[in-house]
Amino acid sequence: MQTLLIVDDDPMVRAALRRMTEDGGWAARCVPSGATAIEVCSREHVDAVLIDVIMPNEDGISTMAEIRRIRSSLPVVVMSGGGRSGNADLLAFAERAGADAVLRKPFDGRQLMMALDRAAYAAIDRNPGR
Amino acid sequence: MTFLGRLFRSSQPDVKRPVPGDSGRESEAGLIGDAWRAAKSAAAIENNHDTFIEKLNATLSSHADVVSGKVHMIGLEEIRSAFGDRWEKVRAQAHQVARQAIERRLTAADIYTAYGETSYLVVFGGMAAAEAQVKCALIAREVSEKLLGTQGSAELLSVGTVVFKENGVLELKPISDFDSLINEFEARWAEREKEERRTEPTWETPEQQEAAWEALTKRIRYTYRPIWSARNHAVAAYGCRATVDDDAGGQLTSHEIVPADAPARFLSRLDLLVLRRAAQDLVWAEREGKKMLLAIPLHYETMARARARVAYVSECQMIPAELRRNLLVELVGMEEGVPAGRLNDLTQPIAAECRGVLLSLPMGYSRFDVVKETKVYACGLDAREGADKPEAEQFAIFDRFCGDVEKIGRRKYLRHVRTTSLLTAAIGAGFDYVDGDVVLRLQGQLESAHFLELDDIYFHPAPR
Repeated sequence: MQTLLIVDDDPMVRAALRRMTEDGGWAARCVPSGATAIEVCSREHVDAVLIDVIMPNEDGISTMAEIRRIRSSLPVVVMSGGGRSGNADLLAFAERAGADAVLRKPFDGRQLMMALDRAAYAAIDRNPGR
Repeated sequence: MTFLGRLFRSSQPDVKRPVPGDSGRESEAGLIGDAWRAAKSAAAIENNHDTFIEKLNATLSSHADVVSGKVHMIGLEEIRSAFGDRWEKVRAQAHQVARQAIERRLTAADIYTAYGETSYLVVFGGMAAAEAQVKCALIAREVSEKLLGTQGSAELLSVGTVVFKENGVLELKPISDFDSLINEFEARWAEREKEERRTEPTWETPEQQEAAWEALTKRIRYTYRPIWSARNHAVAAYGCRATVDDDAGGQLTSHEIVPADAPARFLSRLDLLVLRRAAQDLVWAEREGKKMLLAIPLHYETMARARARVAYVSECQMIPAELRRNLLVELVGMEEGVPAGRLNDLTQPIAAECRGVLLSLPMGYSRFDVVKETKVYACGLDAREGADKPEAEQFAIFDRFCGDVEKIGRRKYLRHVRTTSLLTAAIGAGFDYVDGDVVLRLQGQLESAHFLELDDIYFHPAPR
């Protein structure tokens, strides 16, 4: 079974995403912060990462960049509640910053699974030799 | 500096993002303008203000107009100056006094945090800016009285409100002359109480009751809220509610608009009013060629009283059958212990006259075997009911509810969903339909969602 690392500071969202992930046939590993996510990625096996853009102590984009540094082939999906920072759409920025797929909240389990598929293909394209 | 910090700064050059715990140069909060900056000093940062500021900035970046007027700052800078060298000795006590003064005035909707060495940020989530400013002034007065012993020195505390300007910039608007602010408010309050006593409805005679009802109905308007289908990612129906503006600038809806001590038949009359309005709306929609379902509340009290029930069902039957196919009726206020036979008696007559009956249940309801025996189409919860519970517990409640309702083969809905995270949780738990502020905020993002062409779905009646 593949494992999805879910990174979100909101426990309610984590619980909901865990349910969606498990319903989709994946195992879920939930963490509340980018720092913990980076630690998990460096020590444990995960098959993909789902990160919220806005978290209290770090942002999802920085976390994604750090995860990429540790494990460049890992598919990363960035999610957001459609927030904007100034005039910038956070998800558009996330895509430009290298997210393999983005998800705008709200989304359901089917959309999550589709995003994970997209991210997996994008990660292969990024790392054709692996 | 993180991505958000850079972005926020680059897009709003007048604004800085908070960097809590920094030694000073960058600890001005992003939402705060020069007026405050002059008064603040950055050193040790207390509590979890980094989280607070981060969330606040994130919120401000997309909902500045919503936050405007809700965020207030209370600063002890001048108090510190007044104490001079003695400040270090009294600092802990001063903060304790300030915290107590603030905390005593917080409700469940409010939050506060320390900001810098001498300041506090307070968010009064559930009240108008003017009222919140009075609270801040009262806090300032109490703190100065306790620390310096003189009422006139309240001005030694710097107090300001973060306001949103048209060009998208947020700035701190200082509040001064606390005594006048407090006195004005107290005078207004006394006047209002006097007025309320004068106009307070009395229910003693039928004539008085009728006059009170007439007065109430003149204030009623109708609002429409989209109900979003989580399965189809589209607006599935509109909830039509009777609404009255309250004196504090808020809104009362449905049963809230009927005084608690009013005769029971007022609720039934209110249900009839909303039904008639829905009938007009359905006629309008048909004429305009718009496909829509309309959901209206029906209070348990109405269906529980035989006479009111007959009147309601009769009124319903007067709507052309082809229009009634677009009407959903939500039974609200049901008591926990209603047996299956009784619930069937109450729901069956109305189920026969409309597209479906929705049943609003209290959190923790367990008698789904009772609901299974009825013609109810969907069961729902009000998200406000569990809002004070920890997030994980809320999700567990949603999850359990959805599981129970699925077992009896009914649809699930969640009402009054306010945040995107709650919406995500609702979808994850398995709710089929959701309504609330968040649905309106997401209108532009919802794919394949179709909306009624109402000028303002919250605040104006449907055009016809």
